[in-house]
Amino acid sequence: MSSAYDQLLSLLRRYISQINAQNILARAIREVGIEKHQVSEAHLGELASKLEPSLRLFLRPAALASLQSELGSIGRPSAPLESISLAIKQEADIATARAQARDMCEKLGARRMTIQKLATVVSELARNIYMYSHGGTLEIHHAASPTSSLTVRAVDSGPGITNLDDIMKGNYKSRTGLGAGIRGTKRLCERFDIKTSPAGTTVEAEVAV
Amino acid sequence: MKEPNRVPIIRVWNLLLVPVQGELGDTQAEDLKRDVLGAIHTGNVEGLVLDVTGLWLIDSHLCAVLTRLAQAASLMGTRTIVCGMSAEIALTIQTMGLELGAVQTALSLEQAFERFGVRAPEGEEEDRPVLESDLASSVAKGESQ
Repeated sequence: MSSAYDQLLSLLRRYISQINAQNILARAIREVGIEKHQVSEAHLGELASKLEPSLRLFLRPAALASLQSELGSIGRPSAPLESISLAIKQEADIATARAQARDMCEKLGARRMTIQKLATVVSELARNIYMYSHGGTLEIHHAASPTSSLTVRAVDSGPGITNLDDIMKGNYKSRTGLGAGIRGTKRLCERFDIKTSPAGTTVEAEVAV
Repeated sequence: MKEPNRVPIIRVWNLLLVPVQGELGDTQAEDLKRDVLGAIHTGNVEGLVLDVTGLWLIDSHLCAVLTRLAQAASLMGTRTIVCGMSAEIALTIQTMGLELGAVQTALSLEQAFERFGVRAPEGEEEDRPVLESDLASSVAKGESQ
């Protein structure tokens, strides 16, 4: 099995389930007229166009575009991922942030549980930005020392959280779920700092790798 | 614009099977709820099975989506069972202290069906169930032909 095949599968796997990813990829490879082990970077363009009709069934246009742009970058040497920064404006950005967090963890060789933790933290913080402000940014930094860790920094210029103390103590339950999400996020992290004011909110959350 | 990735709703005898997958944004979640409740409303639905095998991550938002769907179904007299949760997801939900409300859970789709009284036919209980890995290997075989 070629490494290009593995890369393709792991990319698809971040957008759709394993079984769907395998089926769709197998079909595209058949249509190109090659075998699984022959897949190389030279086939990527052709495979991408064969994959598209199937992927349309599973992905929204925004997610499809994001997958296709990632497809384009397979095989190109990439700089070691030390940090990423993403703008969070629309709902689709949350999915992109999650996928990128997972990608970064995988490149660091993180355990599955760590990937799950970080991606969940990213998902929660990105959704808070999307739901409670007009947009913001989400950054993920990797620090190798003193211990390997990933820090997620979420910054927005929304109206701030007025009842933060109540939320963190568990005295507040919102119908939209902000309370449980933010308390849960804190429990997933080694370190969790939140600063909020009417000018905006900044959250820094650290997960050990 | 019409969203192309509606979650399928599969009727299995008098049960509704919903393989939750893909990105479940606000629009998809609303569509799903409307579709499921619509299907329940047409009658003869004893139970709702939400299979989350296809999800790699469940955050507080998704928990709320599933819980609200189950609550709405419950108002219409239909019990909901969530199945197919991975160990990582279960641990994350537990660490976060999230609640799935009154939603019942089962390990596998088979167990969820059994809770609703669906059983493998007599004499076939010895049969090994078809697993995702079997399907995957049959895909691999099909491709090398």
